[in-house]
Amino acid sequence: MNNHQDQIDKILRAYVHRRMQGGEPPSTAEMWQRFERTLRATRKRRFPRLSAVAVLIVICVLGALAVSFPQELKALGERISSVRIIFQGNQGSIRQTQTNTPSPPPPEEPVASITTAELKKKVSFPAMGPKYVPPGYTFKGHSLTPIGKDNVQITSYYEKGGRYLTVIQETVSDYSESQWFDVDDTAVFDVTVRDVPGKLFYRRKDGWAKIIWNHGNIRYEVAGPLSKEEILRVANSMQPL
Amino acid sequence: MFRKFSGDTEVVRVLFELFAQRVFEAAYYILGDRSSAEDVVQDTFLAAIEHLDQLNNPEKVEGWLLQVATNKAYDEYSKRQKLVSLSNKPGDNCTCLDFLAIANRLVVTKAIDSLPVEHQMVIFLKYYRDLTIKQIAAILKIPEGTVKTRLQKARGLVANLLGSPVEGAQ
Repeated sequence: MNNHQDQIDKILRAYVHRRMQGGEPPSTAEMWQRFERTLRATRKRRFPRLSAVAVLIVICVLGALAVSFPQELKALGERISSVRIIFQGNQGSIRQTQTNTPSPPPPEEPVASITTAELKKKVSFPAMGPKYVPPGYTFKGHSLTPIGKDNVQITSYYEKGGRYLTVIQETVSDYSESQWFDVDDTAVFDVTVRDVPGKLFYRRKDGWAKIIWNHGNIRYEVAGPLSKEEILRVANSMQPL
Repeated sequence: MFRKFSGDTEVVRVLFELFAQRVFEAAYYILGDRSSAEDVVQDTFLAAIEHLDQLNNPEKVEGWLLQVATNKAYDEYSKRQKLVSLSNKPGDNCTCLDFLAIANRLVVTKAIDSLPVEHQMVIFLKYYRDLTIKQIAAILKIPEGTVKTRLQKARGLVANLLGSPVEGAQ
């Protein structure tokens, strides 16, 4: 039993250290220098009365404009399904949003490795898989993870020479997820996947690509060390397993 | 104790030298990016200056700072909603693990990620800082029993994945 406990502790320790990768703190002196600057700026900050009046006027004008030209409101309960892109500094973010969509109940426990036949029995929506995978890739298995109380994620793995092509499908409700990427290194393209809009990321430094899209209440993601054309071909070949 | 120093900045400098890196690590654990973790350090110590009167018990200072940092980090995290770095998922670009290892890692990650904030901090202090249950309880100002319960919850999740029961937390 102790071995078992040790194994659990080892897994948890590995999880925490994995999560902390790249998180070595800067030197205290470096952080203190920045803190001193912030502190000085905070203390020096005096809000001149004139600026306060100017801000007040701007707020009043904006308020008056908002009242004069009200935005049209959409009915509550309308389903929203979108993928949009935001840029901040040298980082970009793709946000996928989905609301008000009921999802089938997930399995109770996560399953690390499951066959396609078992998978079909455990999920109540038509699980999909790519009809086309690039030459050399072989199917290794699926994993099944409940997400919260209502949703489930299936990840399917295809392997070639130790590198993996992964296909993720996840039931979603009131969902919003952002994918952050370095805009200096990653190109993002609008694509159409199985007749719905999606986004394709292509990381130039290592030739790695990912496509995301939503279809109904399912979020899909295909990722791997493939060209843009190949990853799109894989995504477009998705069909019920 | 800290009031014997000449001014607020001097007091905070001492606290900064003692705890800034630990605050950074806690924030990084939640946010997963260095720049935001550094922002949390700055905000936490600015808050410390505002509340120096609450920091007169040296044993509770670290707990106070970690609590403020954790709250600020989670505020930032919720603003971003659910963030997924393009390259940090287990299996992405991996050339060194077999399928089962990656699948297990993914499942464990998802399971532990789903635990509430309070549990996450206990896991961080136990498995990253290697603190004892007593030390964790003192830092987080919670009973030792609560620390044990939270650790057991995390271990239970992993045990379920391994398909066997878990013993009490130690």
